[in-house]
Amino acid sequence: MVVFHIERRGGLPAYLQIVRQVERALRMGALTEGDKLPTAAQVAAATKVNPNTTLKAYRELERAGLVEVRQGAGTFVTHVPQPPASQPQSRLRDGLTAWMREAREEGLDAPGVIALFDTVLAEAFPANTP
Amino acid sequence: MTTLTHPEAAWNTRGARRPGPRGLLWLMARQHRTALLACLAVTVLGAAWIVYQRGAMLDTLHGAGWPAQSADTLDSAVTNRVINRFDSYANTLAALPALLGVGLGASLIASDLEHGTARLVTTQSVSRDRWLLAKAGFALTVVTLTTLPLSLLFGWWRDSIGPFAATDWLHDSVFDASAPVLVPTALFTTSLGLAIGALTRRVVSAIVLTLLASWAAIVVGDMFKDELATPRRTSFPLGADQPAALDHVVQVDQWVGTASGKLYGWGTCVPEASSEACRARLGIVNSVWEYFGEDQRAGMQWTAAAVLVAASAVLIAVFLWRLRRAPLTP
Amino acid sequence: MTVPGPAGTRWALEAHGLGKKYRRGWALRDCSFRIPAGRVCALVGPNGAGKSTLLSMATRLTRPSAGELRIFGAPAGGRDAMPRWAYLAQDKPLFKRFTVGQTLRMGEELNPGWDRAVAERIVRAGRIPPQARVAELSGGQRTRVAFALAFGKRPELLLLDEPMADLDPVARDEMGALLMSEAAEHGTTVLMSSHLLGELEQMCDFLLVLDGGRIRMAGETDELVPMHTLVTGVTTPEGALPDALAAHTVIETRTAGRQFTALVLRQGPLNEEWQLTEPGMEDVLLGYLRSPRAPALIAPTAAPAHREDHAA
Repeated sequence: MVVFHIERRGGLPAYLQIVRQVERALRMGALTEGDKLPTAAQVAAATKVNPNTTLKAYRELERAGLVEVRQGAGTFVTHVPQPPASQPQSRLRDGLTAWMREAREEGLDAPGVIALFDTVLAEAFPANTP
Repeated sequence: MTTLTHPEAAWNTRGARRPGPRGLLWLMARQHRTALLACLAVTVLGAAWIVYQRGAMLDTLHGAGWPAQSADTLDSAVTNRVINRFDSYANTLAALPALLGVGLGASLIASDLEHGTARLVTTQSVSRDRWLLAKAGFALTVVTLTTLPLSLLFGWWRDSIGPFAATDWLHDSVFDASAPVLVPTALFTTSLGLAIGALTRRVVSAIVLTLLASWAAIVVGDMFKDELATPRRTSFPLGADQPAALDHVVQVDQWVGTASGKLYGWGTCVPEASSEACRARLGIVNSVWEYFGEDQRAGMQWTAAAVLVAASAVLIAVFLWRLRRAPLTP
Repeated sequence: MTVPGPAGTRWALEAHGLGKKYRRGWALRDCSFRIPAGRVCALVGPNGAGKSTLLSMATRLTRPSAGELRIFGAPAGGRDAMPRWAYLAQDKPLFKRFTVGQTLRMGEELNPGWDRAVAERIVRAGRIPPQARVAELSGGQRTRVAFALAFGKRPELLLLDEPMADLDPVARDEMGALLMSEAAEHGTTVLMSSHLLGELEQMCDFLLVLDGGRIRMAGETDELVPMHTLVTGVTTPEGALPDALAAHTVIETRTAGRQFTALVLRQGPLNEEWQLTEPGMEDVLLGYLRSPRAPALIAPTAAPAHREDHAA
């Protein structure tokens, strides 16, 4: 079972936070195929999130093909996305580490790095940022 | 405390229908449990006291020789003690309606209005009208069930000691404590408490005002007692013994009068020195009494009852009119 | 959960020209709105905006001076409507001398559709023994018992007046979770007045904003909030707002030095030179409440003149 944690000041809408957390749980193996997601009432009891928000997140996940909403039974994981091959991930990580080192040498502090990162991220994935 | 560590054990989730009153009646009985128990205690203890006192009183009187000997010939120390004890009980009983009006009527609705529970009850699935009627019905039923047995027993006591009961059956408490008067008086004071509670919406002010208003109503009521029936008038020769027919009457007024029926004030020609000459000059020969005969008593009681019941109805109408549509917001 | 209400009416609460006049003036005037069934609706506004007046008219504690109010299509306060709603007043009145068990018994005696299991479950979850007297309970426990009484009625519409106002943070969190989970469990429509905007943001998906007795905003949160943008930019050399901003409905502006920040209701694409951020619900609500002259914003879903219900 996955436990959601909703950041009120996270900037992301609550339903997107739920979507992201389910995706992360799938990637980490905390959820596998056939697992049942908590009901809207259970999520509400744990996080005070509006049940319609949870249902909206589950519909989003269903559209992405990750879960299936079975009427009366609940929402079940139907598909676990394959984790990206380790090769590119560690390669990307190495690249990012090198970039970070460079940034520090250039005199950027952590907030500066984050601001720069956010700007570039927004350019690269315009649809995904709030 | 085990109930704190295992609160589940105390619940009775699958309990069947519970015995006892249902719906609003249950709420009335639970909410006003203290008042209900107090009324019950007053009824039971008051009734027991009457039964006991009546027995003791009859024993005393029988011991003194009554009814073989006429009441007038008994030792006055004995008869005075009997009369005083009976009077004090009659006074207590006559004060009961005011007590009920203040204790039950005044706080009955004012408490709900003051503490917000009026909003709690009327936002369940019962309409406000039903709740108000349940309140009024409950209060009026309780006071009736308290005062009716006591006043009936009191009447039984009064009848059994006949001549010692009271000299003035109209103005003494014995009139107020009789069943046809005591019950309607209690209905009246309780309705008064309800109406005042509906108007003030505060317990303390409702109690104080009900106390004052009941007292005022009793004073006014006493003033109008003589209006309950038309008094009779009779004449008998001045200086003669009063006729036996006037033995148990309640005198309203007294004059002296001429043979032709002309009336003079009771004190006319009183100065001893010239009284004979004075009377002769004016032609005064008779003593004239205005009075209520004992056979008028029942009629006067029922007239009083009708007036009190009508006044109660007006007060209940005020209570309903004030609360049916009024905002219950704090 | 935008399912039709159990009686086939889509609208849990509908007001047409609703008004309430007190001796000192109109507390609520000419209000028309509707709340779809199954929503958790926030009732927001400053003190004296008319929130409590609206709730007390829905519960027939006061009567409207003008207009009408319907609950699932039936006139509010009528006997038909009574079992369909439950109300939790701000001061949570309960009989202080009753035990918790007797308080629930009262709910059972006065409500034909009473659900004893639901009410007892809520009280039990707070570890409140049934023999405890109401007078001895803490504020949080008393609120829980009042909630149990409200949910035990199995209402289709739950009306709450500042339910969390006098609770400590732990009790507030607990009651919020309880409210959301029970509402989710039974598909209850909730209308809740509150000043805790931050908390409302996650809990509510519908908004009803009152100010000065009038409706300032009504509609779905997801629809209303994204219509707004927080714009940060540079003022003209004279210190005025740029003309381009006037193309949009400006709700609120603040200037500091040469920089301005504005909450705008977009009427088209915004100037790319400005820094644009999406406001949260709280930002939008505060913007409207701070600017009494900003135009009212009522979404078609929330406007009863909009006859969408015939299509449903």
